[in-house]
Amino acid sequence: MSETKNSRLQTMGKEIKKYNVVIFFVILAAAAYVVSGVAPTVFLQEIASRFCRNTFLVLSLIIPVIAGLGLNFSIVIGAMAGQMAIIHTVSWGITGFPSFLVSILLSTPIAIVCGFLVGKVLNKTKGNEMIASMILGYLANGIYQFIYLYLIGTVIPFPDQAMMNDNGVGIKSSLGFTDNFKYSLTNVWNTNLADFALIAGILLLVTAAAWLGFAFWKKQKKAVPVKISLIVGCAVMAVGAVVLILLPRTSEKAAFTMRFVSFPVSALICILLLCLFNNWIFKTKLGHDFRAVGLNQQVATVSGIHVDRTRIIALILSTVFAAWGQIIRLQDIGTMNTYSAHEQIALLAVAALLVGGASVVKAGNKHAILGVVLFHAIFAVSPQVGTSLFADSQIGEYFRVFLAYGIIFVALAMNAVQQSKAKKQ
Amino acid sequence: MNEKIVNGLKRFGSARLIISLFFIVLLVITYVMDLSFGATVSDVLVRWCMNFVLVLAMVPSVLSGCGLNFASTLGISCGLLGGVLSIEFGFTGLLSLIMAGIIGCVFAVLIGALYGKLLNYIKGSEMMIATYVGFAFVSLMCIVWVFLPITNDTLRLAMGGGVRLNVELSATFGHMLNDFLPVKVGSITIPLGFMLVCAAFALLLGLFLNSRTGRMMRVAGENPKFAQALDISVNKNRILGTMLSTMISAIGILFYAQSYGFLQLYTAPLKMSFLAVAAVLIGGATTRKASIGNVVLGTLLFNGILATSTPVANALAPDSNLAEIVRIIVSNGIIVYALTKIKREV
Amino acid sequence: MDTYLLEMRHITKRYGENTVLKDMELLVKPHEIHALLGENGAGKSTLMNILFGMPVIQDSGGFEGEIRMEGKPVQIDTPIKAMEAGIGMVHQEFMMIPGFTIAENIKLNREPLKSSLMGRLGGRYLSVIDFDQMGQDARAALDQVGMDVNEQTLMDRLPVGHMQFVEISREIDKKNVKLLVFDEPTAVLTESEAQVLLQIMRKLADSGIAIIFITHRLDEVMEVADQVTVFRDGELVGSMPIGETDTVKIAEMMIGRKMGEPFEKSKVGGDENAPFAVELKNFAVDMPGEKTKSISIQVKKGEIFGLAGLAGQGKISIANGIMGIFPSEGELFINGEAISKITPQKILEKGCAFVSEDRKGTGLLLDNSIEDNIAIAAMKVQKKYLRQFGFFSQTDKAKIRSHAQELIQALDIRCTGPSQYTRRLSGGNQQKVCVARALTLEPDILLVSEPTRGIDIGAKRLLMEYLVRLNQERGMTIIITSSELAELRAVCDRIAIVFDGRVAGVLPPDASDREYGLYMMGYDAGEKERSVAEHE
Repeated sequence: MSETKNSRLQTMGKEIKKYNVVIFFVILAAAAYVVSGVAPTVFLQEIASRFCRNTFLVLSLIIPVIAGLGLNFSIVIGAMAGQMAIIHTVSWGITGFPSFLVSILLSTPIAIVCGFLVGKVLNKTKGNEMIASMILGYLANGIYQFIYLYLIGTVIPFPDQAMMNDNGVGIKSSLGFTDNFKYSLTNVWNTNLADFALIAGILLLVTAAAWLGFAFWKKQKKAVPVKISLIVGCAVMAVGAVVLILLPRTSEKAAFTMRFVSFPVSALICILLLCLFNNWIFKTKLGHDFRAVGLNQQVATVSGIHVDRTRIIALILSTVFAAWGQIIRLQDIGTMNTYSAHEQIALLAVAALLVGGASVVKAGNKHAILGVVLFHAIFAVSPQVGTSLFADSQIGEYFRVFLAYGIIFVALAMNAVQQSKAKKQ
Repeated sequence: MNEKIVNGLKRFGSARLIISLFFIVLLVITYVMDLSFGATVSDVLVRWCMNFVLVLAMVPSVLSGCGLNFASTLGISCGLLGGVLSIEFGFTGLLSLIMAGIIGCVFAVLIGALYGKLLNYIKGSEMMIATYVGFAFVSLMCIVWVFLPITNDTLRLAMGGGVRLNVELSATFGHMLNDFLPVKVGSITIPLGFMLVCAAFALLLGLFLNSRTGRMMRVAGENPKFAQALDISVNKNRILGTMLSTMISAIGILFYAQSYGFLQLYTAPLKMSFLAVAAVLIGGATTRKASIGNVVLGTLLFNGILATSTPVANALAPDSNLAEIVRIIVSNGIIVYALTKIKREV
Repeated sequence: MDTYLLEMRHITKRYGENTVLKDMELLVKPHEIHALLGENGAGKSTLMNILFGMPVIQDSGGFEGEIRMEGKPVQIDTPIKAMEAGIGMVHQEFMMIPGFTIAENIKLNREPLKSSLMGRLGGRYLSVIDFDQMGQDARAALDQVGMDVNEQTLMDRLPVGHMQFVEISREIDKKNVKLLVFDEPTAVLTESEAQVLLQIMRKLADSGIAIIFITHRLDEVMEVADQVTVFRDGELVGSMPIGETDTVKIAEMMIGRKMGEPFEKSKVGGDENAPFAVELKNFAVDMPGEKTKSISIQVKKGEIFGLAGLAGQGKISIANGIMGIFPSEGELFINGEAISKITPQKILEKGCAFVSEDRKGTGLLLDNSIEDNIAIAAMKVQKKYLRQFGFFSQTDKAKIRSHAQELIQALDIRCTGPSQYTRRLSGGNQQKVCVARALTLEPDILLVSEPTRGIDIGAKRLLMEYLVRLNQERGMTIIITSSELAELRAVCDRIAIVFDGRVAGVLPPDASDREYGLYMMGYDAGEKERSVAEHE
């Protein structure tokens, strides 16, 4: 009896261990928030907008992880493809939602070609994919700069003089999209957090009810027993929904806070669609091949799976999503540093994914979503934390960069130790 | 005869051949277009020496089996710390450079040993992890620079605490080696003294590599199984190689800084290791083999291209930053190329 | 005339000059368990590679001869064509994805798909997998082999012994399979698991699938096989129904061959009273794939001692254990002195030197010159070939050069000079460099493993001759480990045969083929002889 209790405790310990990265960052984020003294409205607004800006990019990392390519640092190349599409779309004078759609359409073929080329190179650098993808990102940055700093205006004609440097060569290093591209997606459906909570709460409630109803219908018709986990899950959803609906109504202050936080629902819908896509793809033959190739290339080859082709497809998908993600991000920011907007993309996305509890070989939607919230909560307030602790906001800046690099280092090291242990066995 | 030439070229490698030709073409353009040829060549020579020791640091790392040292920024940070402390303690002139080197090396030995230990746990993933160890360490050093209790005015930030972004070296060891025994030939200035100092460092490393210890380190790096059969400790030798590499990097950055005239702190060293890696690869090294000859050739070619492309690029397209773009493409291109040449060990 | 399921006739395969299969024939009937026997290197794996259309065959110029399935000629040049022809393989190393469930492994790349809109638009790859169907299919296949484990269990939670059965289930699940090849399937199984496996094989054969059974365990052959085919040196020795033979005959067929011409020896080493150079008591070495459990042997001073046995039985690990390259337990005495805590340095200092079987790994620094390869061990162990300057030392290049040149001449190493990289040398010359390095240590005891593997015939003879000369002229004790019994019988004074991690017996080189054969199969030769005699 006590043995089973012990083993139960052990499994519980293991379960907790699984989440210790997440728990650590929850505590860190909470502490950072308290110390920073940032107003709740500001804090929520930061998280809401950072979530809608960055999650799509983080989600683009998942497929390569599952396909065994590790953390795909070459999503910066996808981001560059997105920026290229934006530059040309804007130069053609397209504005509003169409400018978003055209950017998406234009970025896709560029990203496909880039993803294909990255895949080709990474197939030649098996075992060193991550560093190769990172250096490829740097290399592509050089080529991108060569095209947009030097070829535009000299070799490639460009219609919009205002976007170019004064001497007529190259694109300006900083572009503003106030009158054309800014909020082209956000403005499709932008609401405040209070209203969003209401809508989300109702949707959640309906979903839970439908789910439960379907299960009981199935029980009656086909005598399939209803799983307890399903009932519990639906109950949790219902409680969550009630909390969401009631939250803005608990107090004046809460209502006030939430009403002043704007929330871009349209971006959120894009994120949800990508989550659904990720879920769906792993149920298909292609997704199953991703998993097989990711777990053991040799066995996959012997079983007749085209390993190299599968890896290339994974990278093409990742690159395309990264391009779209960068477009979603930049339309919300509204300005773009032409030659550096992409540089930190991979670093921040990868760090966020890892904070959410993913590893070099395991990642899912939940890691991405959780990770973005936690990582950006810390990221958003760390300058204020620096100010209130050391009277120096610069320290906060340095600390968050250190945090991003550090978390990636720890994740890589943990994976490498595991690998070399496995090799020894 | 023809076959010999073809074979020779094959050994030289197509990547190296293209880069050499590129360098020669750039030199010819500078000469033909009269873009102050003398100053450019002098610049090439100074940059050659300035980067030489930093690139030299790759050799022990590769030969001890740890691969290209993408974390040479650890050593660089130690060297910078040595430089800052040497100035803070009030040393001047040659002594300030020597003390900077000594203090830097003390830190480098400690950090290098710890880092070497880490590398022994993660065999097979050295390069990627090294990169992020380097990144993380540089960002950690940023915090250290802010908190370092400095009293010296040349070092201290005008407002608030911490060290300046760029520390001026004219009062201490700036241009100490550059101005040591320069020789003028026509319009070209040859930094003979600097070259001799670099040669001395190369010689020292060469002597070490041919000592019994050095030989054993190379055996451990080339073939761990072979080493084990002769009771040569692979792990200890990897730590040794990493320590050496870190130390040499620490000295290397001081050479670089004295020539540049400033200690560049905070995020400036972030990607310096990539340049050293690219240079040694251009010289013909791989992730498993590197020689002092690779360093000599690679540093000359890589920095030669950078130095000559600046005036040429400025003549072709003013203000376009073309030289910087060339640097990015050449350095990262050669690293990717080298990565595709790694044979996967199963 | 019998109707055969598989006919492979007049199969000849050459790798360059080297003929590995000569006019081979293999005929398999339906419902038959067909045992394939032969020493390592007899040609079994090459024949199976041909049957599976493995790339290694096509890349080296294909083969001669014809293959027929059910009487019709088939062209098998890729593994996929073999699969289509109905040939399945149960691999020796498991082809499983550990992170997948049993069901996912059984249906790997043959997953049942649901029809859906996206599937119709995007083709096979965008169709959703029918996981329920997958589970049912897997269940059916598992039931057929009598495995009652849940098909949704993750592969890495499964004991090793079970994996074999999952492999078999996967092959059965391929609906058209007519012929299954089992490559040493019982090697990793416990005795009871092996029994279950043999029963399943019988059941499968009865249900109509023909089985080719490759093994070294004669007991199993006698128990389950219907027909036996024996190979030797790439040639067919014979094929007969199991009823017409017995273990002794089979063993003889496998081993029997012309003895190599013995080398002339003026004195046969190790006279009765010579002291022991190397003595092992209950020596066990933990070397993956070649474990030894308990070895006790005594090698006399001045003797040439052979270690023989089939691959995987442990003979290779003995020298590696003595040299401290792999961890060992038990007692080791060198020249009568007990050695505790074996390290390579200690053993090398005691006057032992080793020429490894792993020539390109443990044996050579491939990207270093011949002279460095020769000198490096002495440099490490005895601090020779160095010039000391106080604490500091430098390699003595002149001394290394002259020593290397001497040995290059003595051993007739064909090279462009002492500074040539060993990577560019032929196998035989590489081996000579290894021997040269060992000799540079000036050892009393030389351990040589697989000295002639991958070396052409001329070089083989010269190398063995040189070893004999070292023994005769310098009185060096030599322990040779080799898979080539003939070679050992030509040079050794005594030969120990290792089976299942133990010494099955020690024989003089002129003992009968029958004795050697039985020992190598793990029988006590004397006992078997008697039982056969009684039987007759």
